Amino acid sequence: MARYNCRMPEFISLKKAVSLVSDGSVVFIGGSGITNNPMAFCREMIRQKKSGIHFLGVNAGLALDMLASENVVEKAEIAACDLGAAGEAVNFDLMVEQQVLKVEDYSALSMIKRFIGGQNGTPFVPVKSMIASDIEDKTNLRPKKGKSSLVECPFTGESVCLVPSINPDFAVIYGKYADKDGNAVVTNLNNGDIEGFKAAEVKIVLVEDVGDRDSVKGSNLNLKSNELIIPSFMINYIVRSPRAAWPTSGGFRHRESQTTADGLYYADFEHLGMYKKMSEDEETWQDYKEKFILPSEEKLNHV
Amino acid sequence: MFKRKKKKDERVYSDKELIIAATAKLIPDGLSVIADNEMGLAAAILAKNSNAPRINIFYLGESKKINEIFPEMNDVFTKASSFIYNKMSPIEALESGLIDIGLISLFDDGQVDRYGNVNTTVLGKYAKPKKRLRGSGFLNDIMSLAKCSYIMAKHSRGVLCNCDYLTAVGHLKGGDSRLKNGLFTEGPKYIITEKAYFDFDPKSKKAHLAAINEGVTKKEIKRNMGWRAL
Repeated sequence: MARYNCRMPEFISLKKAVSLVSDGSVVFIGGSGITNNPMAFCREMIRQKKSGIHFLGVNAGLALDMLASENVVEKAEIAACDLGAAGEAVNFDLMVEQQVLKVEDYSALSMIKRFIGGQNGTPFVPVKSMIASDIEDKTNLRPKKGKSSLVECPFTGESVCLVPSINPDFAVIYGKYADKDGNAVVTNLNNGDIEGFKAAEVKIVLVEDVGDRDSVKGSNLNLKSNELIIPSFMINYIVRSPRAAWPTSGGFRHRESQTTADGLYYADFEHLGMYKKMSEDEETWQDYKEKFILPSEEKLNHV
Repeated sequence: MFKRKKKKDERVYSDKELIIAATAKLIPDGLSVIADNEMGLAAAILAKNSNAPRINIFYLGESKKINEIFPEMNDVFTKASSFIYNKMSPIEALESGLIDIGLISLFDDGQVDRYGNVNTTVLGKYAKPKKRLRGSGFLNDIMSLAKCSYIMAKHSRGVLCNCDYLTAVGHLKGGDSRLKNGLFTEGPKYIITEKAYFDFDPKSKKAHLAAINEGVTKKEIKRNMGWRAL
């Protein structure tokens, strides 16, 4: 069961946040495809040379692709991995084909349900999808009966698929902004970000900016339909990191300027195209790494 | 009106556009539609603007230009939670059985067999894949939980063939095997390609060639398929 701390979240630097993650721990990283991936965190993970990470995600995207290319991730439990409108995840595909990275496939809904189970403290959760498909019985990572099990409902006799609940050690998601009290505003993308976040032991939010005391509370009435407040007692650490989601899309909206979307940025398709091209070859990949991963975030933001 | 001269061999529409147009035409009015990527969304929007103005569209994917089409979405191009006119989350709608049609598009990375089973996970063996594809995502959930589903695929031997891996179950092995395995929804209704579309025989549940696009011959269709249609 996920535990909540009843005190203020700590505001820490990106470096310190990443150093908390020990090698081999189970990490949930939010975002999907090329939307709202906490890329700053992933780049710092590569800079600090983490290894053996057990990756959890729903519709993973650039975050997993980048981490897989540098062998940070050893195992992954996901529903899908691609770069959305930018096409397939080249590095991820290659690593799976070479059997460096082991992947356990679930469907997106069952992955989300597994997090809900972890959050509630039940050992398993029933789902009505996955039935009769190969996702249900072919395994790569878990023991044969550890992935899912098809059972008959004791009350109605219907067949239901049971999937094991899961609690990540760390959850990292990308948020828009936070206030000094530690409440954060995130985009609810219906992609399991919130569920995975709630199920984790240590919860980290990367935000674009930290506002005044009332900036989240006051904006309560002005929130968009897809924005969500995460209250401070659910968060352990908040990291302020501008343009943390680049080159995926992200951003936030100032309270004063609700009509103009000035803080928002879209996925950088030019950069993603270049990323895909440069990751085809070992030499060009090292070039990319030196230019866009290894320099500190402050330097990257000027690029 | 301005008339453009057409050359005989020049194609006016791309394959994707043809599939989208054909799918939009098959969507009846007044239902709820769910799409999991851009192609499905395009078909749903086209249907809403032409033959089915009263459909509800739910969306579970990402899109490049969604905020240009729908200004109310002018946030990040989000996986729209409550897309278009609904405040309900698409996952909630899917689980409670409110979705009538699931639009599934795998264009050229994936496999569809004659019973409408779909593979978007791996080509080759699962443990030693020849090529890794995207994975399931919401595809399995849509095909198991939506009342029926339309599959949009490219008309080629690599796509219309037997599945190496069952990512989502269509009519499984034909007959009533889908029902017997505990899936109570109707399953796939059409397979739509740029050359033709297939429906399913009500008894054997094998794919049946329902209609052919203009300018395409039956031979051409048969030559580019891995299985035989009724």
